[in-house]
Amino acid sequence: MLITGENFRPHVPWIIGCGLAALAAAAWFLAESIGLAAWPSGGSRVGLVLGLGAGLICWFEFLLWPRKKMRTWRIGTVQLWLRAHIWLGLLALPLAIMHTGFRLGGPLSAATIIVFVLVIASGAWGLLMQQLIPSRILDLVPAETIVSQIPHLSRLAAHDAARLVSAVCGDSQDDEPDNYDNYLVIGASRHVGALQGRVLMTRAAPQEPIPDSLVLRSYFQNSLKPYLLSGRAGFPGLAHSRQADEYFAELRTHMPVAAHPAIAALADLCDQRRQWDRQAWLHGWLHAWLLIHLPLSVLLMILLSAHVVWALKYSTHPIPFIN
Amino acid sequence: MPNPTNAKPRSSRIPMDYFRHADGWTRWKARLTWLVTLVGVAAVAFAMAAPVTQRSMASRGPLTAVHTAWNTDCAACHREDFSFSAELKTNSFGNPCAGGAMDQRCNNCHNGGFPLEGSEGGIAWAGAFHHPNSSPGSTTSCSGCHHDHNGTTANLTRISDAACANCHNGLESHAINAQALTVAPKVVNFVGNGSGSHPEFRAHKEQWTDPGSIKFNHSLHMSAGMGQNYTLKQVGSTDQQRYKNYSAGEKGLMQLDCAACHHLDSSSTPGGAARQAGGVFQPIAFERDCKACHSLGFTKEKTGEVVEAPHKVQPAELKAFVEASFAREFLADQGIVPAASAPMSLPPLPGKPFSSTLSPPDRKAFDKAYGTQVRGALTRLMSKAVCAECHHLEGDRQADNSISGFGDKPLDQLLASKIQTGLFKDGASKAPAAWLGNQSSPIPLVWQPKARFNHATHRAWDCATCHAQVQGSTKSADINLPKLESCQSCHGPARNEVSTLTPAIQGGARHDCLECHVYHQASAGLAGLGNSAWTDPRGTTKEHGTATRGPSR
Repeated sequence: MLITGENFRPHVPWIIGCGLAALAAAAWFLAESIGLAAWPSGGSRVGLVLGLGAGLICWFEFLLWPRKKMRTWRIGTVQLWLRAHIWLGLLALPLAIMHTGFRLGGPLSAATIIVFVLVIASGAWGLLMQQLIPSRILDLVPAETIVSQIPHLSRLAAHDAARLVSAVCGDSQDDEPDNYDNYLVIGASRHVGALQGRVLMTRAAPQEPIPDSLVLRSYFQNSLKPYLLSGRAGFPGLAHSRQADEYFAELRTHMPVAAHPAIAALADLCDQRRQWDRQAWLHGWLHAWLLIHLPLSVLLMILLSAHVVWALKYSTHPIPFIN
Repeated sequence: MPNPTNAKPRSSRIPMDYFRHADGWTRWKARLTWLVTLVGVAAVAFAMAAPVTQRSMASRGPLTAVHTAWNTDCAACHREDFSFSAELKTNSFGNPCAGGAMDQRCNNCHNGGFPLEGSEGGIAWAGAFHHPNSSPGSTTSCSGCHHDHNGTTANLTRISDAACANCHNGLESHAINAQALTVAPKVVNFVGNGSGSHPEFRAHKEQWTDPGSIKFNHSLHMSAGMGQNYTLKQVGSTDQQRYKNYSAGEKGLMQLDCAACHHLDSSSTPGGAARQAGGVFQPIAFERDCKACHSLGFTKEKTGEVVEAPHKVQPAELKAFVEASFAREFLADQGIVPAASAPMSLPPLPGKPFSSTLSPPDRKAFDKAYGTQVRGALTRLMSKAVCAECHHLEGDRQADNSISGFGDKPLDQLLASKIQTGLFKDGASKAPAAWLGNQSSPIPLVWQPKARFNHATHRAWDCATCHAQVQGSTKSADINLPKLESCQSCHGPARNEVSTLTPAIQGGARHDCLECHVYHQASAGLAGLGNSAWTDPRGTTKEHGTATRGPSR
């Protein structure tokens, strides 16, 4: 969720509300601390109230998960839930820390607060990534696609390239049977003003193999195909655009001029594949935090439940408000 | 060759239902979530199933060393169930000491006399265990101050000043009767400027004088020869070994120091102030500290025998002793008993003076034969050379009690009088009655009953470092208690200014409230470890074990 620029305005009430709540809680906590030998514990009046507040917020935060699963429920927009998730989650951190009285306590309470801090930290990291990464993707990956489909699209690109190479060099026994001899349909990126998008382009295939172009098949098999299929892992020599330019420049020197349009089409395919690699890498930065945030959130709910049971069972005072 | 199909199928490069198939990220999120869920649930279930892990999971940390035995027995202090309703019915919430479930468990062992009952200064103890005048709402629970589970080396009793300042920064609002306050209403630190710093010690602030009934001149006794060119040779033979270090040879002048008479109490003072070992000095004992120089002897003219009169007797008893001491000669003279079997000095019947056992004719004969010698001996004993050297007559306190002698009273009047025992409580000393009542010796044992001080821990310092005025003290009324600034020379924040003490001290020693004060039974400052019996302000005496350990369980 973006909270910058024009998206910031809806967050203002949440920031003010949660900030005031945090200040009020801190003021109360400090007031209750006056004259005490140590910070108020979790069982003290202020400690219990703050802990209760933090716990309830945790449960609310956790409800975002089922809310996302139930998108059709009319219980507030997902945007609203996300804003509440972000700011209430941040509010819960000072509440929980004051609830601890700045002590880790026993193994259970220590584990609970440590997991809680990790959950908040991973969420904050994720929020930061959400502010930074999408704009980077727009800048660096004009040929953006669906990340999960990159392997599938890579195979299609390799197949298109194989057909183009066959058309230029002539069929070989290793080529797969192909009925689309006369036309090639390949993906290409096109610029329209400041925008760049990916379009399909139908090219006419050479009617006959171009003489003295067999070397292209060798290049294709050894480097182009592995790169189109697996990206940098398949052939690192094409991972950077400068390297790719040098690679194709060299290839052109070995090929007749009639084959140069085909080489340009192959270079275009490699450029798309390079962008997909970059997109996958940025996508990892954008979503990796969820691998921590989500499992630890579940763990936090488990520990929080146990903490409540333990606290009630071994509480120092029959009614915490009394002392 | 015709094109078998158009480009549309080829353009549908991404399957329309691609989102139905989870990608790697989604699969890993699900796997990790399930893994963490299983591990978390299993860990919590395991911890809850086994009592030991259940308790260790709940524990905030190891108990302090003295509570180690209960590290795995949570129920010794904590409720270990969910029985809120039962405790709600039984607890008295206004009184944390009696109310809190945990406090009740604390009291199972630590019922050291609190909450106190009765009254002090006309104010009834209302369940408070600090001071009768502290309002019950101002006291917290045991665990409010004593935080355990902070490791075996944690100190449960070293409470921060903030806890004290909670009330002592404005005692009026925390007192049952603000008019009855006997201490400064605002004290928040030991060293500081302004109204919140520790006041001067009360004895100095109120200009007390020593209410003791023993005449003593410190300056004289610490001078060489003690004003009489006293040498070791004049000390009794049995004590010469003990005092040989106080003179340069037999003919050298004696010069005493503090340790010659003041002996640290290595255990406690039975029946008196209960302190840490070495905290206070033993009471001055005549037999041990004075007798070597101050003999109570008198000489029989006939035999030349020197008889030592007993100490701690009143004049009438002294007279009976002297008469009885001449019994041997008289009985032998009368032929009642052979000289060899006559009693040396004791009266013939236990508990009765010798003279009372004589018939009137014998009595007249005894007076005729020995009356002069008896009066001579009594005159010496009651003179300023012996009894009157140190004692006052009862109710006859001299304005300057450093003056020897009982005045010009005739002997018969002196013999009918009584020697002053205990402290003078005539108001001249300005010491409050409660303080005077806590001192059982004729010499005050503890000048600051509400403070803790251990002379043994300060043994690195010369006595004069703090008690510099002793060297020039000539009157018994002098209070040679150090002033507050003497303590503050060391006990205060570290600073750069140079102290007047030698060696120079620049502060840095602990100066929190609990360095000197106690919280529980603070108004009964003589209570504490080291005393076999403990007397609280109500006047009741408990065996110390009962007071501190509670009933056997």
